[in-house]
Amino acid sequence: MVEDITAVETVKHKIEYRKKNRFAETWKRLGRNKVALIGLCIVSFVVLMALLAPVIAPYNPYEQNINIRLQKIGVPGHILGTDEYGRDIFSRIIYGARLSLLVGFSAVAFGMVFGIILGITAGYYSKMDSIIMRIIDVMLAFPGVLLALAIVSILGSGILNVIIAVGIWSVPTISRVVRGTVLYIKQLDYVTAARALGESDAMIMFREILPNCISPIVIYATMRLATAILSAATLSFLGMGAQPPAAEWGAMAATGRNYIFQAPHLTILPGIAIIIVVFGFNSLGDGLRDALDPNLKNAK
Amino acid sequence: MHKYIIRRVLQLIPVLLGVSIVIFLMIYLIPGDAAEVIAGPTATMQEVANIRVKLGLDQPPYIQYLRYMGRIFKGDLGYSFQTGQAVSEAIKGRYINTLSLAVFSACIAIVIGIVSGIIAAANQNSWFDRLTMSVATLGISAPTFWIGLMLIVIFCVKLQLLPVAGFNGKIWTTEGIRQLILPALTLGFSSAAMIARMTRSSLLEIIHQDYVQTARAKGVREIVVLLKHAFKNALIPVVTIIGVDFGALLGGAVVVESVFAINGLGRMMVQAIGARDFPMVQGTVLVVATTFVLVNLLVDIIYSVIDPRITYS
Repeated sequence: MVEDITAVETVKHKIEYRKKNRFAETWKRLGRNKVALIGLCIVSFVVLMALLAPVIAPYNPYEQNINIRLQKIGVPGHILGTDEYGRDIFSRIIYGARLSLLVGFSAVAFGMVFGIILGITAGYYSKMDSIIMRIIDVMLAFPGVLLALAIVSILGSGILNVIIAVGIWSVPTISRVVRGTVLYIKQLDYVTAARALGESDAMIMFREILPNCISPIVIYATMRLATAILSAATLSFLGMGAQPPAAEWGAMAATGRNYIFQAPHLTILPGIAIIIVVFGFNSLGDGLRDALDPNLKNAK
Repeated sequence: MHKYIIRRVLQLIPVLLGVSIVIFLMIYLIPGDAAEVIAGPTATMQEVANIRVKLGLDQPPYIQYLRYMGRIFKGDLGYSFQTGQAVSEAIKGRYINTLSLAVFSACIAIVIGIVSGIIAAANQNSWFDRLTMSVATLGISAPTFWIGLMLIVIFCVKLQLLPVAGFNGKIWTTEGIRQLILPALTLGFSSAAMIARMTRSSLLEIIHQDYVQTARAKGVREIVVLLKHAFKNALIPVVTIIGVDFGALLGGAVVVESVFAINGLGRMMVQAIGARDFPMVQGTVLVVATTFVLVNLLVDIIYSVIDPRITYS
């Protein structure tokens, strides 16, 4: 028995050692991947922009000035022009990063908590598996933003409800990813050893198995952030997310649409901001996938 | 083979039942008193009570669910709060528009995606390859509504070639096609991007295999090698992407219809959500989700026919 315990400790030790080594290795591989580096730079830039918005933004994003409405790009004092109320578009786009990142991160965090719990339970307890997977199948039966739309129709519009809706929408795919990994890991020897040592199921699930599912979770969460930001912007565009006068990219594009003939930049600019952020997260996710798990290269 | 199809069809039953339960429960999940929320803040007690009876909230949920299912099987999806019109009638009139849009954009996406994927793979690292892949990356990162608005700016505002909005419902007429080109391009843009990327990478993987080299060594022309020898095998992952994406097009239609003011299910749903017209929301969500599930079934069956490696267990 004592020998067994020592053996398990050694295995744990090795895993710990490998983990540290793997982090350095991952970081190195990520550094070699150009696209991933570009993604990382974009993401860091946008996060900084969001954090420092009050410092960087030249104007208050809500400050109206009817005398200078619908100014074109490059007008002195307003580098990206002004909108229908004379608000500075540059400042609104900078502040928009805050809302987009807030919604993206919160929705993915929300989806991850429930997705991980469902996925790990389904993967670990075979009896629960078919029940949880049927629930997931039902959630996946709503294509695209339909599930998020249905949830917003129940809860009502607003940023918080969009976070919940996009979060719930992320649950099925996250739990599938986690379940797949758990199914593989739970039959490894070290898990059997932990069970033999009498560790409780909860301990095995969250202390032994979960840390080894981190790679696919991190990769997936990064990519999901891109999708979450896109869908939140879409919901706002449809009038169900951030409400005017909020400086939110989707909502800005929606109001800009009314002026598409005389001032198309009201719509073009927020769209470009969304593309940059989404591209950043997508590239970072792709790079992380290659760095953390080359086997996942062909997985969607 | 038949067994596989039967099993796959049987698997649908719990999913469709689950979908119907979720949609039925939507009313019960509204925070607070659903009848009061739907009636609005200015409604009288009598109006709230009427809505409660209309929604069946005065009955226990399981009885209501059984009645709801009974009605669905009879094709009765309730009546719109806004217009009083039968939801099934409203859907009937618009279903064809959404389907036309989805099918048209799928065709566009498949043609553009596969052709540009093949050309990009054949000329790896050329300017065309780089351009295609950059546009494809843009296609995956850009919001659908924005692509639609940009196409409007280019083709309607600047070039004035195509109509800005609307669809006459007749895809077989020239006017119908002209009206549907931009919406279909918008909707199919990200699918085309995915298909192009997948065709390219799948082809590149295959053209380096021995049997393709052998074909080349035999002196077969490059274009024949590419299209006859390599493409056939490269097609399988592409078909998967096409299948997965066609379902997603139905979801994307919600957004595109709103941008281009097409009277389809999606636009109707968005308007119904805005007006808290629940019977209409429930009806449209039910129809779109059911179509999606059935399309996926069809794709799986087609896929199993194309790829002989699929096991039917």
